[in-house]
Amino acid sequence: MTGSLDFATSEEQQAVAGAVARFCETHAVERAARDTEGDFPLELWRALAAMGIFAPAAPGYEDAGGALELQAICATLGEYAFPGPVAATYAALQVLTGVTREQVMAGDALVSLSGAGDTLLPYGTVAGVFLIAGDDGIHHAEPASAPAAVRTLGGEAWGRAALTASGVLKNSARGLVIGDIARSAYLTGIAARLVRETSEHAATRKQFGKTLGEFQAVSHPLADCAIAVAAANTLAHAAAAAFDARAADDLSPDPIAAARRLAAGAINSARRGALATAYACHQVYGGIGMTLEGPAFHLTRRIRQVASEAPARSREQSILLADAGLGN
Amino acid sequence: MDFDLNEDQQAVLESVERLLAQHAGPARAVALNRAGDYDHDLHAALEAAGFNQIARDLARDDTLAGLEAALTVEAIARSGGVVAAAAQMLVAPALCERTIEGPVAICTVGELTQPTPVRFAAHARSLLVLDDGDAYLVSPAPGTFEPVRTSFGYPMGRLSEGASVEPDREGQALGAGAADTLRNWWRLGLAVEAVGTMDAALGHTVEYLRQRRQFGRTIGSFQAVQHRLSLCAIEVEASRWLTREAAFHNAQPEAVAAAAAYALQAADTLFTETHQLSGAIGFTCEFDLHVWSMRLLALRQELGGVGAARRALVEARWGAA
Amino acid sequence: MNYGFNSEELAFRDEVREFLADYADLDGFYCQGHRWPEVRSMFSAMAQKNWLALTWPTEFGGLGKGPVHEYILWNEVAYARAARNPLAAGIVAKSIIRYGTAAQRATWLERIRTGDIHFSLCYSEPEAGSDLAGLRLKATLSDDGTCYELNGQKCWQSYAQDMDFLWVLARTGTQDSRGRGLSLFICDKAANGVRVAPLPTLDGDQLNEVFFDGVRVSVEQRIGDENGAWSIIGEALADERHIQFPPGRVRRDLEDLVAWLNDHDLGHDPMVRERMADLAARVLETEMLGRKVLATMVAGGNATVDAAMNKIIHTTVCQDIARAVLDLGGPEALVTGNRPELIWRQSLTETIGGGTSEIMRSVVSRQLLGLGG
Repeated sequence: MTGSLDFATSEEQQAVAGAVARFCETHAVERAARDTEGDFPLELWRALAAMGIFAPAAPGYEDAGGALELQAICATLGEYAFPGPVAATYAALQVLTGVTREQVMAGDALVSLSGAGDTLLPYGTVAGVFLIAGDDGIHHAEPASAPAAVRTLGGEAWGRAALTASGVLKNSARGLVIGDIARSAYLTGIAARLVRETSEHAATRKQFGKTLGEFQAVSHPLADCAIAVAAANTLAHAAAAAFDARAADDLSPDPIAAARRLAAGAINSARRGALATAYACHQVYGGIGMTLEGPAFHLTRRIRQVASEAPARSREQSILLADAGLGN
Repeated sequence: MDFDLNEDQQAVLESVERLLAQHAGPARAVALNRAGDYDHDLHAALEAAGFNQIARDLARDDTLAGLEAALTVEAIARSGGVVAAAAQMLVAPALCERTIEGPVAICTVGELTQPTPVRFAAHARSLLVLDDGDAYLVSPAPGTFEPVRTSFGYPMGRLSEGASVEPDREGQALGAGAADTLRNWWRLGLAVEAVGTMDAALGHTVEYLRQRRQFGRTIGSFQAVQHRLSLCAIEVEASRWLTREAAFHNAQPEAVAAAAAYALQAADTLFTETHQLSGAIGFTCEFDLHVWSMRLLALRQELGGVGAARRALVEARWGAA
Repeated sequence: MNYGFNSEELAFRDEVREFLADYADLDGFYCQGHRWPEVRSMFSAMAQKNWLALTWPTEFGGLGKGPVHEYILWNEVAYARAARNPLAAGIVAKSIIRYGTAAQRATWLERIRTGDIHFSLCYSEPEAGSDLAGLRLKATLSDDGTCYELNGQKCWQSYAQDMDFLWVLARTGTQDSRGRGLSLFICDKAANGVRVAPLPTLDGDQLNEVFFDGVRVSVEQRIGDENGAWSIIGEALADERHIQFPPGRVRRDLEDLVAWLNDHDLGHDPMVRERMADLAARVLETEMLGRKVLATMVAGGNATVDAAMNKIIHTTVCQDIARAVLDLGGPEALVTGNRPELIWRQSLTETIGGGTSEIMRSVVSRQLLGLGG
């Protein structure tokens, strides 16, 4: 009998994560991640897509790997605070078909995923595909007019317009689950980097004759961040494994249902953990963390931004509460 | 702006603390709670010294009696006294000029129709009942309430099966506006009791952490401990001054709601942190922390707790939602 | 990649569930002090299936199963609220298997395996809780080298009032030898000079003080080398990490809270729903972290950091469920013996016992983040 539990990162996951990390190192992603004024870096996005990173878990691309590879990729993109609609793109590729799907896969069309009734559209001025995450699934949508440019507090180029939605797209359930996995992995990736770098800072910077990290008032909050990141990461990993139907049947006989509840837990956990990490790490950095060019701001603003994106918390809450058996 | 106690207030506080040093304290609270008893001796001593009537002018004049009564109730809570001080000294005089016979308990009408544990009810000679738009006074006959087993630091009682309570004849006199008055002073009383109780719980914990050594130093010297105690102290002091301000303004609704919302939330923090930082001894009955800590949780259950206080604050400040 | 259990493991889980169906009302996880005769008899019934020796090597009478089976067993027992895992079959027996002499194995293992004897852990002292290496209870070897005399006091021992033997950590070296001067002894609770005194606790149960006044213990009852206890207790602790905080307990707490909210029709309030959704997610966190700890152990890795993380997540969600129980329960939650009150009281000590949250944070900050503190 073989071992039945495995939480280690697989070779496939390590390989794709390594490739994405190398890309980020060689393509000045840091500069793009710090930019709060320029246009969306479309060329960078296309170059990323050209690596084929959006194929994993997409229907018809089984050879490209599954949700576990996707999770590893998103976590790495998070580590670099890679700009753009990462989770929305993965969600979209579950539900789109035909030419649109190929354009999105190639990075030629950008996806804007918003909540039902929202008029503030992520990347609205540059997006080619508009989708709405509603209670009943993912809808295709068209803006009533060309979205007007809006700059978010996080410095991202979004747009404002009313949307007209059409019917629910096929494979919506998978799309929302993949979106949750991708977004929680991405948030966990940023938060993990933030904890690592802040800890390095605390281990070297001296005050009152010792390093910051020797003060329990610094080390214990950082430990809490690391714990929150580990919890979210474990749940995202579990959700991805369930999605890939490699989990045995004690979790649920239906892999998508099993992945759905774990992914709802993962996004709840990741959002909570990443936001708490952002606050705690800013507190450790002190003044230097407040500056635009400092070590933390480009990471924490991205956490805030991604944590606020659609789908809203109410979606995961209803999944978690139904799973826990709490009546309406 | 003057935060110092004036001479009269200082004298009141010193005199009640002298009385409490003689008649109250954690050992006495433990013994009484074990038996589910009310401290009739302390009640009588407070009565004899005039403290039960300290705020008798409250319903008549614009006085500082509310603040003096609050200081007294705070001190009694700090001493772990097992008496219904807030109901007797703050709530009753605000409702009624004549002296209401103690012990006094307070409940909502819902806690009678759906019999629910009520603090001091099994020992009360007078019961103030809050109805939606009305308030009345009843004198429950002995046995109307049966004692409830609880480890939350106060004797409690529940309406006995088949028993009912009838408003006493003079109870009608509580009159127009009495419901709001009762609600506000009751809530203020909860905040005042929380302040005294938190104060003592924190003091007891700090004293222990100053002494106890692990890893070759006192626990209190670890920063992870110190900073959390500091936050506790801040919450206690903030609760204290919000509460005293509300008492100074004779239970003005917005001030009361703010004080109660803050103090009852702080009570939860104080419970958690004092126990966590005390370690294993904190969960034993021999360590007196529980005399105060368990009460903090009981206070949070009354009158809708933090949630109701927050809604009251919103309503007082911005109008009904 | 696999987060679940295989079919053989699932069959075992079902067998455990079937066994536990007879103990649905036992309630020994919370209140072992009040239910010891019943809990003891359940352990004896488990012994009939040889489950107390589930993971012992077959040569010592065990079933030779791995940590996955052990996790399944005690997680189901926790979910059923039947009992906490017994020390005798775990820490004590595993240490004897690893470090005991042939004679010691012969003396103790069979009696433990059959559920005949039970042990209380005597580590903590009044002045040595988190800082065990500072303990003072003295064990002095007699001049003829045949026995030790124990003098001193232990404190905060769980269940000592009901147990048969004591697993005693004592100082055989000098006080400043810290962890290098400690030895382990098995001491009969009925031995002359042993006195157990109750320390009633807020949860209605009790801890104990155990006094040793000239208690004579044969050298045969020292497990491992003199002054060699530190690594033995460390390894024993590492052996138990996957079953120390079984997530079944908090899953059951959550289910009970949900049932209570449904019964009282409180599930509509948006504030309640938001709070409950977060709690549900955190229960999932500890379920998966618990399995991660298990997976690390199955793979033969060091689960210290994972277990420290899991302990924080597990015990804080446990207490936050209990806090919600109290916040949403109204005055009725204050009545002794009511379900909400019981859930709340039994969560009290979780962030203290088995290593305080503060010690766990220090483990993470030192071993994972490379920080001091």
